[in-house]
Amino acid sequence: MNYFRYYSLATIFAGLTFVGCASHQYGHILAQDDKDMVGSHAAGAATWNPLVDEAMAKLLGQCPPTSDPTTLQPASYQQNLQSEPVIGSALATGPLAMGPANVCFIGVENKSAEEVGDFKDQLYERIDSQINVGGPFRSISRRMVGAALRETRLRPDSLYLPQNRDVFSAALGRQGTPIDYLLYANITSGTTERNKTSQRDYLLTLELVNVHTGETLKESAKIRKGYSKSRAAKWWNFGWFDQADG
Amino acid sequence: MSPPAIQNRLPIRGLLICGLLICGLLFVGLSGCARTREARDDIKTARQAFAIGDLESARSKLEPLATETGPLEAPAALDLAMVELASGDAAAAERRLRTLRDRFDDQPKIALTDEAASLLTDDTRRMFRPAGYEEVMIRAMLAVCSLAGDQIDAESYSLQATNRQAELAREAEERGLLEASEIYQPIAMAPYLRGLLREATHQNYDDAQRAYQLVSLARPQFAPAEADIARAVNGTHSQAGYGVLYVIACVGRGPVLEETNAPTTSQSLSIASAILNAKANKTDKDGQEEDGLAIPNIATVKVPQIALPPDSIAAIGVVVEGKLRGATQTLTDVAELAGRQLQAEQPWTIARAVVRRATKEAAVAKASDSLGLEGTAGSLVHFAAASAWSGIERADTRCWSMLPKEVQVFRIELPIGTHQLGLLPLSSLGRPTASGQQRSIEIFDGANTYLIAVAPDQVVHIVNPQGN
Repeated sequence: MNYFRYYSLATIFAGLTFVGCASHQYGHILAQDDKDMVGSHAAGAATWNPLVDEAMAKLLGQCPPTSDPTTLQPASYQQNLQSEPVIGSALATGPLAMGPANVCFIGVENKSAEEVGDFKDQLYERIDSQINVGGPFRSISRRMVGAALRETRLRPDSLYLPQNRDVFSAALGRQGTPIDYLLYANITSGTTERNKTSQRDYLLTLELVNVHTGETLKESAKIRKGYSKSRAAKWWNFGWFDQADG
Repeated sequence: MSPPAIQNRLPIRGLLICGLLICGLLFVGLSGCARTREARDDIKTARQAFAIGDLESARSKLEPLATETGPLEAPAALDLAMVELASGDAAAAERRLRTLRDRFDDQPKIALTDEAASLLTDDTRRMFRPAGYEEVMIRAMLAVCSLAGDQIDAESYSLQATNRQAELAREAEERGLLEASEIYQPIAMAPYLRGLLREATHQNYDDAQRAYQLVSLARPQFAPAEADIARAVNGTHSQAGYGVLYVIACVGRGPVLEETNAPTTSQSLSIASAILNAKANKTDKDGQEEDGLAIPNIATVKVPQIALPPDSIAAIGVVVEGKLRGATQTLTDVAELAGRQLQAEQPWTIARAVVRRATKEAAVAKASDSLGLEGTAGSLVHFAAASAWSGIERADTRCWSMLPKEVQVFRIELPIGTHQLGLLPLSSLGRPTASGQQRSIEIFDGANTYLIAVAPDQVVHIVNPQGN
């Protein structure tokens, strides 16, 4: 073996590939019409964003806006009023007397098999923003919610109990932000394994609780995702060969 | 001149040339090593100074190394960040670690020039890459730096640490490593920091629960994890009128790497054989198989081994208002992580040394052949040149040597208001070994207060500024 030739070639090769191997990172701004990236190992923007949009649209769709701000109420509440006689004042039993109802968005609870990571706070903000977009609801500040939870030392999941809800509402009321509804967001997942391919269903559930009556309104959105080790596995199970059903 | 006379003169000239080559190799090797040896001595001195609490001396030794391009630049910079943190300059430490994190992330997966150079010299010519646990520790220490300072980015860093840990686990799994569990080493510190930060929001107990469960998996010996999980599942952050104090302490002198001679194992020889066969599996222009490199008969090679510098500290006692309230408990055992990492890499380190020796011996043999050296003279030259070339090899002992031996934590709920706090270095018998440090702290209702301490031995450095 000609070692000098070997090492000369190796050095040239190394020099050329050194540039190619240099690990630089580049970024660019996505345009509005660019597709969201689909996560290869976990749910990402392409999963969470449509889930939030769909679930919020469904929830707000249950509460059609009316021209008269004094009658802005969730449809279910209006139905409830028609079916059951109101006892006591409107403020005591109904969400609002005038204007949009105050919604306290408690938070997003992750019960799925995945770590949501930095998406969790973004989901919160996305839902929180959509509550305020011209609907019958108006959300209160997240910092207020945090401060009230800290003051009362109540866990978000304990607010389902009427007495805890009252304590929490009173704490917010003292801060000048009376509330009509509590909103919970819940992420769950269901995983189906098939050899090295899996399907995971992501479900985002929004639950609106009337703090005055305890009545709840629930809507959810689902997205199913397939995870495969190769493109061929994807085609085999979900694509041309459609073998996912067994 | 007659042909026999020419033949007689060739070996003499060859011997002279070989002698000059050997001297040249030794000169270049030794002079190149002199600066590196000096730098290594500086790091050792800095390490000693850090251990006895002389942070200024440690800084003065490390700063020139951390700014000078060379093989020890990155390890010196990592050590310097620890000195800056102990000095109370958490912002500088955070900046430095952030720069290093980005630099390590941008490193090429394969640096062929460095690899080729290391084949002709030794592993110290390879690009310094932090071990997997060090990569996670960089992010975890970034979170600690942030907690000691403005706390703005602490949650992001803790998330990065847990994400990096998950990436390492995934990479190990995707590579199909048989000993993936050894290469991938979960570090309890990363999820713990995330857990305590999420718990403090009073809204994300589910995140805290997941994080504490990961802590329990990564370090089952960490007893407080059980209470943490129970609190995240059913309890609340703290009782009304109370806040939580977290003492996060870098305790003890962390592991360092030292050179030793290791026997060549069958596993390492089979790796070396595979590498050499891959190289030799070529044919020449006539279609004949070229001669491959043979594995030389090597009994031992120089490799790094873990050494734990002696220290007398085992934990830090936390004294509140003059009363000892408890001691920090080990969350992450850095020494254990380093040992496992080195053990997993050892066969590859030895295999690289064997391949290097084979390459050098083959190159010397070819050179002496081309110079017409044969017989006893040729053997002598071959032996001398190969020995001289291999003799200047050194094991790669670069590492983040100022990491603590253990990262320990202590959590206590305290009534809101100002408290006098003392931190005492405790021996393994639980007795104070020095007077420790005092600091006044402010506890806020339903909030976390962090006290960061660095205690390589008997001197405890409190990182947070006075009154924080």
